[in-house]
Amino acid sequence: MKIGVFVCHCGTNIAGTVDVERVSQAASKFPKVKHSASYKYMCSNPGQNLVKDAIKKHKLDRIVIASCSPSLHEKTFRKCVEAAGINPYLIEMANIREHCSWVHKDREKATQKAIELTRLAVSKVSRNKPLEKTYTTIEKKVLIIGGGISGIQAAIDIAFANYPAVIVEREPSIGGRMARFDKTFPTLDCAACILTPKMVTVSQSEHVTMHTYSEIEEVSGFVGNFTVKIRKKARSVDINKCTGCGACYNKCPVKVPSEFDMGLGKRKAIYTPFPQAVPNVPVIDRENCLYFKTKKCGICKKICTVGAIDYDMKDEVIEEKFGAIIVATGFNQFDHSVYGEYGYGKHKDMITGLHFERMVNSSGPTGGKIIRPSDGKEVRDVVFIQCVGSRDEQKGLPYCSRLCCMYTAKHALLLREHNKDSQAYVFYIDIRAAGKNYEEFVKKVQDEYGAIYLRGRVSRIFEKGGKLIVRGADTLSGAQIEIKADLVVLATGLVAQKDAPSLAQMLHIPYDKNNLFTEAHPKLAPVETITSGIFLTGACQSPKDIPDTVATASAASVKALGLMVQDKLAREPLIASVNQDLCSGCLACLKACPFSAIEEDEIEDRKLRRKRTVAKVREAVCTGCGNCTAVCRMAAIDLEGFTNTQIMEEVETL
Amino acid sequence: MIDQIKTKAKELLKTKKVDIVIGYKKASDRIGAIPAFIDKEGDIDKLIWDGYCVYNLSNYLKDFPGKKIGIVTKGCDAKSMTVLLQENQLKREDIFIIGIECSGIVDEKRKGGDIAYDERCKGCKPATPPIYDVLIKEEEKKQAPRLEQDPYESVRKLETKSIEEKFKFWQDEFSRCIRCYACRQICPLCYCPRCVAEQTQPAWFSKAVSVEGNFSWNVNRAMHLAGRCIDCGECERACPVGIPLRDINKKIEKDVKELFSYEAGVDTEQKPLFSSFDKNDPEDFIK
Amino acid sequence: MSEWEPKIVGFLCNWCSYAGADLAGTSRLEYPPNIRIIRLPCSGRVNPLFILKCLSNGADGVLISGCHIGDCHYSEGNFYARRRFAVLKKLLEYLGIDPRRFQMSWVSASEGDKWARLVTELVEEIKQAGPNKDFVRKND
Repeated sequence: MKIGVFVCHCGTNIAGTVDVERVSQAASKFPKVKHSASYKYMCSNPGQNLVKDAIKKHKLDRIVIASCSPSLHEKTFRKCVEAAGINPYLIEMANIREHCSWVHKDREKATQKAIELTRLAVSKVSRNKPLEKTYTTIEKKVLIIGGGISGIQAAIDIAFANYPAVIVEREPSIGGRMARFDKTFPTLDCAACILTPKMVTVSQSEHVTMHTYSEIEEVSGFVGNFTVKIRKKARSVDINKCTGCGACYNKCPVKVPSEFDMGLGKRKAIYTPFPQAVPNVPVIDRENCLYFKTKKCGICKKICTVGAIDYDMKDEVIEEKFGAIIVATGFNQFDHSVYGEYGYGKHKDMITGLHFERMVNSSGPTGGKIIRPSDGKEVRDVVFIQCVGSRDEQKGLPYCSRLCCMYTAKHALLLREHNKDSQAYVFYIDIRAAGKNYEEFVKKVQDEYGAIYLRGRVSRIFEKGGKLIVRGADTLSGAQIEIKADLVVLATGLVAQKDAPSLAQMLHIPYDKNNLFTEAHPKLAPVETITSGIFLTGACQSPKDIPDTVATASAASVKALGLMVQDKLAREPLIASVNQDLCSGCLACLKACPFSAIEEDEIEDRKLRRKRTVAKVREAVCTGCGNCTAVCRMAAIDLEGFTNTQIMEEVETL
Repeated sequence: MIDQIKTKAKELLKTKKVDIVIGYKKASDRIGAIPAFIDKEGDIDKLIWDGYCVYNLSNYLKDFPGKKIGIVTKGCDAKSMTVLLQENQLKREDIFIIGIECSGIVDEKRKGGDIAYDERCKGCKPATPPIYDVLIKEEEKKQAPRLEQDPYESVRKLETKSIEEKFKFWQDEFSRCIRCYACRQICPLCYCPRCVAEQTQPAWFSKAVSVEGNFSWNVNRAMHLAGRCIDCGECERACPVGIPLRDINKKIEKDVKELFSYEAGVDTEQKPLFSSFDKNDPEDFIK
Repeated sequence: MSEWEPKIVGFLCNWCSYAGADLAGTSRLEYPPNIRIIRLPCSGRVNPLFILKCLSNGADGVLISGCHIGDCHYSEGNFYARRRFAVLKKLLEYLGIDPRRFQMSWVSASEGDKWARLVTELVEEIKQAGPNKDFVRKND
């Protein structure tokens, strides 16, 4: 064994505190060290060449670089030694910068510590083994969970690259929240006008398969090779036969509040959620359908000329394989009933922003008229309350929901557009309008559309003389304010979907205390998760407006496509492996693996002359955390790169 | 009740439900009991049952691979079988458990004297095995009614000592350790193909009889039994130099009960202590 | 005695605590030079036998540091470590090992200051505990 040690000055970063020459000299006397040297910048090209030349000249077979943190340059030096013909896993780094020269001032002590850290690295590298990357195949298909704007955009991007995408949407139609919006800030494009073409593109793409009215039931496997069970709920309408003529829901005698219209309008028991639904195939709501309740009626079946109605249809569970998964499950509205002072539920003329979206929509339940739900009269004075739930750690959410400032401004504008005599009052804490043309938009709403912005919280809302009296403080003027409103609109915050945790558990991705899915890194890997091959887009990760949602959808698609274009997937060899002769088959490791990366195996025990169960690592799934190694009493399972022998050697050297 | 055991054993052998019955027979000193391995109906009369049936027979199960075994099992010993099942070391269908709801065994150290209950029996009530195929009840012995007693009395006593006193106490105990590994050999739950004590790559701790080697071995043994030891007491009985090993095992047993409400050997489906966690596990010791 | 400087081994998870110690460096936060860090992927990788090896090899103190609960790069590794070392810590104390000698902490990648403070305090505590002579044969 011939170990080479290379000590970096890092300019004065290391050399300023550590006597680099002394470290190099000391290292040359460590056991098995054949060569040591120092250089001003080891990571620079000349520095790397120095290492490569020394490897050839002194026939070195293992390398220690004493320099900065391995998180910075471990990869650099792996490549460097590989170019010189050494297995890239036969290097170790001694962190004498972040952990030494930068945190100590005493030159003597720092030098002494640098020598010991280098000794530690030398002892470890003496126990390193050459390792090879492993390769797995990739199923060339992407699963997209959620068919809102996020999932739709992702599907379009995947399809554009000629790879198949499968959207699973639990509602009867794709479109998600955006399909409910009227106009979009700050440009006021009509949401339907920009969304519907995308929905159609998806539905017509030969590369996209849609499973609407469907949910994910089970996910197993790993990057490149996920196996997913999808429950296709019984629609009661044959999607292949239905022509979307609409005769069935026109004639259906049952009327129930429409979820799509936030209960402001009605739908039938057989229905499509909205006229532009994709697919344009109705679904029977079996809880409310007369046929399912009483076995009488059956009008839809009688009237359907193509025989698409199937009352006996059953849920179907299909299994498909995917190489990557994009999670685009969106958000829910904050439940504002915790704000007793607003009296929601008590006052009929109090609605949320999403209700307002439906109301102001010309194809919505009121035909675009902004009315009081109590008496149907058109409104004049409307109070908008921002931050309902958001930025309120006591009662609501600790975070800012990011879009409420903007959609409230938009609502105030639309109100004036629909009714020239109206007046909008907006209670706010801060205006957060950071985005292209956002600040300008809010300004315009105030200056050109006459919206009155009041900085302060609302303390109480009560009814008097057929109006809602909104009492609050304007903290800027210090005045107590009382407004007689026809309508109060609450800008409720965005929260995670109720079942986000169970989906996260299925996918083995983490989620935070607000049940929002956690990205692999908040800055550098915002659409990845720690489970490789699973990506995040849209509001399921954090509240996002449409531009951000679309941007993350495309980002996630690029990440997924990055997998799709590869023939084989290279995997780091720093994973666990089992010495099956030592393994007792107790499977403590299997039960302790956070990634289900260990399975049972059977070997022929020559000594006992019979078959016995042992553990085996599923190499493609193992992430190399090493938890299994610590629960194994017989030390039969070990972690490459951080083996028991390596660690014990390090401790021995201390 | 011995008749009940014999009848069952006979039936099991006769119907070929099992190939062998493991029970107890009289030792040559005519007082103690030793394991009996009976594969012929004719030998069944050798079987005995009394307060001297101390040994945990589950340790012998691994000696008959591929055979169907009937086994006479006290409540405590059945717990170790539960752990063995939990850990995939036994197949439930391969064993027929003749469960004994025992009323206590004698303190072996006082063999020959009056029947005095073993220390560990005092806190054991009821003594019903957690798993069994047939249950045979022993009538309570008259001499010493079992008391509800703190099973951790001696652990608590040690816990109150100062750190120096504890260290001195245990160093004195461990200094006698001759590293014979009898504690390991006798333990029904020490079944590793190759114990870490004998591994060389890496050498986990000193193999020599030494302060640090003895300490490491004993801590290692205890940690490997954490959440698994069911206090059959075999290790302490087997220790030729009389190290109070049960006081270590019981300490961990007490801690995991208090910290994680975890108890060993009660449920075959239970996840091992260290292969599971609770999100609210205490962490007041973490900075 | 004034010559004696404690030797402390730190088993740090790569993703949080090691990065936190890196940050202490990047932020130039000074702390005593007594700790030797062994980088591991996760606090869950730490085998109790490592601790025993350190102590019997003469380390005056051992520290395990991982991600805060909920931050684990492998989502659950630190949960397992927490349970494992809760038991070991109590056992070692019961067997007479000064509890200051074996400690555990959660240090995130953003807690460079916590890392510097932690090591400073740890060195101080171990200095008070004195050199680890527990495993040196005494001739009394």
